Amino acid sequence: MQVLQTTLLTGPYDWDASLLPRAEFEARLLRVRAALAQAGAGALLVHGHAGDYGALAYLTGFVPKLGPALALVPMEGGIRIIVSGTALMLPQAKLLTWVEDVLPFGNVPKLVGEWLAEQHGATLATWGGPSLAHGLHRGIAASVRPLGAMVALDDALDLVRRQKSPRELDLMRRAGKILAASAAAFTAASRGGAGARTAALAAERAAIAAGAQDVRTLASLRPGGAPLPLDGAEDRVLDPLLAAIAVQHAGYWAAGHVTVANAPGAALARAEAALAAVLREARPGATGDTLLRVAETQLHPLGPHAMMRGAIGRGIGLSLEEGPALSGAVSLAAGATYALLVGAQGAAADAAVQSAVVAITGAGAEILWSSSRMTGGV
Amino acid sequence: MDRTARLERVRRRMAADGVDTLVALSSARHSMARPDLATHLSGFRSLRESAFVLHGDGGARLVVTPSYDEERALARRADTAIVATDDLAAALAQLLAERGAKTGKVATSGLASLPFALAARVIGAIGADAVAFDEALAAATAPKTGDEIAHARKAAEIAELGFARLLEIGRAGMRECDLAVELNLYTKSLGADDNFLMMSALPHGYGVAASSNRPLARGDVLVAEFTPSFEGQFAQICRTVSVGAPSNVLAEKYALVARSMEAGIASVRPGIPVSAVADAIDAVLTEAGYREYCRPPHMKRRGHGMGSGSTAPGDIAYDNPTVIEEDMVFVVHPNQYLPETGYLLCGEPVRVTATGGEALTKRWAALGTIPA
Repeated sequence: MQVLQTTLLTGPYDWDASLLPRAEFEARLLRVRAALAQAGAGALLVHGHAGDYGALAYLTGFVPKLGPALALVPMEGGIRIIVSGTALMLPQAKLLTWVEDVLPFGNVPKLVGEWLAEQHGATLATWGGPSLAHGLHRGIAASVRPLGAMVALDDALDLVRRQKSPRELDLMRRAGKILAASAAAFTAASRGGAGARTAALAAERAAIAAGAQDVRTLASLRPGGAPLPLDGAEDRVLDPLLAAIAVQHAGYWAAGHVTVANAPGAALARAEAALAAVLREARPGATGDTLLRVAETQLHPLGPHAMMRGAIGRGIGLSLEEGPALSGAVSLAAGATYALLVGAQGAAADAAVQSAVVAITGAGAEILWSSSRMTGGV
Repeated sequence: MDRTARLERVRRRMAADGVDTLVALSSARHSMARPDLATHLSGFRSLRESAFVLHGDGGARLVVTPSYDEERALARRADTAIVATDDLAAALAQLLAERGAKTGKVATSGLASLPFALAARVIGAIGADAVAFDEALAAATAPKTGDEIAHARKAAEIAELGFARLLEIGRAGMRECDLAVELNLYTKSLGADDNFLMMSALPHGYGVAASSNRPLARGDVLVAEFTPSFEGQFAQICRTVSVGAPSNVLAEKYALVARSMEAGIASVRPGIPVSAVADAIDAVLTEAGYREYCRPPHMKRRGHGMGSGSTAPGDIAYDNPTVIEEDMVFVVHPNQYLPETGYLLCGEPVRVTATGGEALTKRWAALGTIPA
């Protein structure tokens, strides 16, 4: 699920050791350093920005509310975080993380070069690097070049964070409950005759009341339309109305879709059946192709919704799209969490999307949230 | 001025610089403070990276990603030809190839903000000899259109209502972040599509920051920059609130900072350098004995531009020589640290008229109070 980036994150993001104690981060750091050693890297640069900071938050808890931020991770010793904003904002920035060494952005390429020199010119791995802005990347690359190589290690490190700890799963279960409250509020508002914008606001209020630190809502712009950002002042009553809701709790996202129709058409029935079938099939090793075939069998004679194009689901956790996209031979992995999506496109405005958030267990899937529970279809 | 006239200004500037094709790029990392001239030109905030392509001889195209966002782009920008794609670089290559030799000299804006791998592919598509056009484009598009001014006026109204809501619900014991979230929901209910709300409190602060989990306490001085966006156009007001009854010193010093702001706004008119506005603010504070506090770190800037991707005329600062033009919109905010009180915020959004400056707010900054 992709959302319109806001200019500033305002929710409760200060590091809460009762939710994620320092020991949890230290265990993560050990795993990441092991992956670095295996790849022959001697230091790590982690990048995050206000739109996607999953890797950065995984290691440091830090959430860049305002702009980009970097974490510099040596093989031994403490992490350093470099954050957007002025030095006057540092006291508040330090509240966001267990890491003690937090600096303002300043001349980032110089800061990175000097730090890497202290690591004796080790090969610098990057994580979250593909989203580094061209200008910033160019400067960092120039300062690193005389000292050693820079290699992207996203695939290996994404695998590390994809495996959720029991504590992370608890937080995602909580996020699932918040999503349920939010989706219920959206559905109730829409059934009560509210416009899409009003229903979205009801969903957001319910999520915040239930403990979300952030919530984003997308909804149809026309009857049966795919959920899209509501960035205009229009507040149209639509039937059917499709919505996508993402809630965040203690850094962890749960995202789902609901379809509200006064007179449900064939699309909703087919989508509900498809989601039920996909959930029955969800287990370690189930591939994107398998899940898609199962869904399409249930969707027949209707066609798959355009939102299924490319993937039937994605990893979810500290990022809304934590990867991998479930398509082809890509398979569900035990210990990982996913957002699964199916949808049907019938005649004219008869369209529906249904989804679920699941944690893959040793033999099957634990459902953390499912839109079928909103409509009673499963 | 309307959007057509703005694009004509850009084309004239392109012609003056020998540019045949402009490719303005957006990273979709939307910001109130960083320029995003593709968004400014298109009037569309994209989900992912996008481009606004303008040809000197006429046509314009908005290239949006992901492709499924086409429906929103068509709804929001009915006056623009839309290209929806999942591969921005490939779409740009095709667009330019279709024009062949007519593509001519290409200029870009926003290239440095793109993710680097995408930037490399875009450079491959448009040619490594494309020239950066950011500064020229920012200058050519500095005045707001009539629609943007109307939207700024609405955003300012929402900001004022938001501040009234703060005075209504704020109290000691509330966490800063909870108050900020509630105010964001409220401004959204009034029609805002975003709100850059920096708000923090301390008994003696040195700046303003994003809200933390800290509960407000008696004796805090809460500072807030309300910056709602309406239809993509931001307008900012800056306010200060005492948690509990303010001390006489706080009330007196706030009145001083407010006077400096009034002097700054009174100085605004077309044809003068931006620095003159900062000087007018500094003069009041200097007269009161705070000359040494008129430079960082005791203050950062005396205001700034704001828009849907345009930050013209830049910072209201003593070293900004940019000449003020009619229909520019910017916030005038002294936002000053004083040793007796800590950091204080007061600021109003101002539109430049033919003869002066018009504040877009109905009620100017005055020290607020919430229960302790």
